[in-house]
Amino acid sequence: MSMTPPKSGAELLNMSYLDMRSHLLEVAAAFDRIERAGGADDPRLELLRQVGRIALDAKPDRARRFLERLSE
Amino acid sequence: MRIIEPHIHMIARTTADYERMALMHTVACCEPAFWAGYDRTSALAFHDYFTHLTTFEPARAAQYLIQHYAWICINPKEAEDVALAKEVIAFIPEFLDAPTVLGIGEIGLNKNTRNELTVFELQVEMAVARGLLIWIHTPHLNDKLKGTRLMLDCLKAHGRVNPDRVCFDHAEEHTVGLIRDAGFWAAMTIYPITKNSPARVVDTLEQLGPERLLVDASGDWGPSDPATLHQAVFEMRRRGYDDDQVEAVFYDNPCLFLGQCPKFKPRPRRRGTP
Repeated sequence: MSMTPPKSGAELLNMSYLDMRSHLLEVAAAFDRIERAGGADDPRLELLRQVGRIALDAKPDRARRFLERLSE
Repeated sequence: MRIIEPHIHMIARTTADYERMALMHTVACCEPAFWAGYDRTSALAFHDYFTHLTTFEPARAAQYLIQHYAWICINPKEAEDVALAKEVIAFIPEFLDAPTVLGIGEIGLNKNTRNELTVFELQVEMAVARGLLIWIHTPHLNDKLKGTRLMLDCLKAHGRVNPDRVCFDHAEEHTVGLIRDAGFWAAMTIYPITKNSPARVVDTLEQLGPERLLVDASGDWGPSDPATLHQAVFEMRRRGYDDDQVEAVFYDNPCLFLGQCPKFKPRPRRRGTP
């Protein structure tokens, strides 16, 4: 049985906005850093782009789908 | 508020961590047998390790009023050598009657190989024959989903495994539902980088509910911290849950699973909660 979250979506956004901003910025900066260093011929980069799209899409269960995409 | 740490490798932690855990209201912790960060060179090295888990650690923890329990097994990362594993399995029964040993664990899979599965099955058989609880390690990262499915299929096909007495650890969003839907307990590990974050654990509690779900820090010699368990406690309180709801997850739930072994002394505040 699920638990009803005591906080509203707006309150949760206030709690996590800076964390979300920080994590997304770190990803952006890491892609820039790798690119500045000449890039890498590594399939993990494309996988990261794919799961990045999952993280930002408009469908539910993003975390589960993110992990499934990275699973063997 | 009391907290139980269901999974931590105290052999790899300093005494200062016992003190920190005690100050954060941890009253009991459980240490499954696992890899040392290198492959042990003989079966005797495992014998020494199991002796450490059943003598030294309970005494060290007791200085901080923490009850220390252990699980004994040959771990999946050293299970590829089946001959060595069988040597170790032969003396595991010596340790199973120790007053603080709860069962067989953490058995499981690492790279999902045939040999690992053979050693897993041998130890499941030992646990079932002796009526012991089982603590399961699921593989890391990309191998986790496949390994979890393999072990679920294996245990379901066994026919004599009671899912109430088995916990699959290191579950994440893509495996926790599979595990609980099959009737087993799931545990979520919080690590600073890999596995879960405190926020994702509380998300899962909200989405799937707290039934048959444990949370642990699984602290060892790698990037990990016993305090990540307490960060999840704080995250739950920060989201507005009251202390009764929090203690139901971090104290009562471990009592309900681990208390199936009569050696485990802490008792849930309410039988059958949450």
